[in-house]
Amino acid sequence: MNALEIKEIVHNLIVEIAEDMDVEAEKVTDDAHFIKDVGLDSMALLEVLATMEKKFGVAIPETEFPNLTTVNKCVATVEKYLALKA
Amino acid sequence: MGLSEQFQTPAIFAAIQSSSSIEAVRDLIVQTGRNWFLEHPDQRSTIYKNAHSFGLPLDETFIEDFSYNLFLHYFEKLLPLFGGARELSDFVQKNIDCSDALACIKDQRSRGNGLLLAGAHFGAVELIVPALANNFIPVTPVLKFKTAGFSKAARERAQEMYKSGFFGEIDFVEIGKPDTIAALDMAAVLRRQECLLTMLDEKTDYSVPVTLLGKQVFGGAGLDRLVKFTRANVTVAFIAMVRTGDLSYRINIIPIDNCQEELAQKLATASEQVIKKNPEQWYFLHEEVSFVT
Repeated sequence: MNALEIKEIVHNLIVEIAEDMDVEAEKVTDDAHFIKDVGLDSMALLEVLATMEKKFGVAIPETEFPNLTTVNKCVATVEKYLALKA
Repeated sequence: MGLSEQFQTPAIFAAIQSSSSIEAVRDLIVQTGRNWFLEHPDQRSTIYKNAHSFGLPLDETFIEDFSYNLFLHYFEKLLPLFGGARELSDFVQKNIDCSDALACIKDQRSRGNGLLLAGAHFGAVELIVPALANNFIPVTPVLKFKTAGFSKAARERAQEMYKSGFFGEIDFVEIGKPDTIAALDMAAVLRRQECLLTMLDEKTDYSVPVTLLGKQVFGGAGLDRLVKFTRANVTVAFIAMVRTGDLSYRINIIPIDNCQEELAQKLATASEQVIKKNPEQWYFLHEEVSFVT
């Protein structure tokens, strides 16, 4: 799976969660901060973490949690742990 | 000035620190609370209204017992200000029966499970963290501090306790602050197979209707989502510290079926078991309860 495919999956995931929270999906851009710019809360971030781990088959350690704040940062994190798994 | 603020004045803090004994601190807090109630007779109406809604006794004896227990709640909250870590450790060792709770916690941790301990506005909840930390159980309470100053003071106090050698390390997950990742921090605690202590009856965006003593209220505080998305072995338990006599306490832990279905209701039902035995210790009655209308 390449970075573009990962990005599409992560982007769609964030949009889905944002819509569930009645947040405008247009706010979800590659570098928009999930909390400050998009309006998600920390429980939504936990859902993002759990879904990414399940979807990509990776375990993301807690040291990475503070980095899970934008689509691009999530993609970079997933790529890093997919590479470690390979 | 509200009841809570009444106990958070420099004069009260100074009086606690100069008290001669723990009993003297308790008497000071109880007397201060009684004086406040005399000046605010209208406050009883909230207690009457809530007690009536939940079908609890409405006689004066109950209200008196309830008020006394409410003041004890503040006494327990402020107790760490009296003396140092050694005094608090001595108090815990002498007055709190943790035996069943420790056995349950140790058993769950030996199985590699994180423990989500869900407490309620009941009994001596403020003493649960010192009691567990005094037994070197890694525990992280989820707290909301009114000011950055309170947050700093609490962290400094926890560090002092840890450095004393009488207590294990106490960390906090702070909620209610902008831009925090509290839910991720809570999941991290559970993934480390430690104990996370949080409240089940605080109303959050993720609370759901549950039945408690025959009434529909908002409960669960989103703990079902926390467990679901933590993706680790987590045991959920209701925890309460019951006042069993004059300055004596016991921690009760009721493990909940691990299935996340209806978790909020299962926690409410477990809390109901404890509340029914000691309704006068349920200080939730003093607050504006979020009934489902």
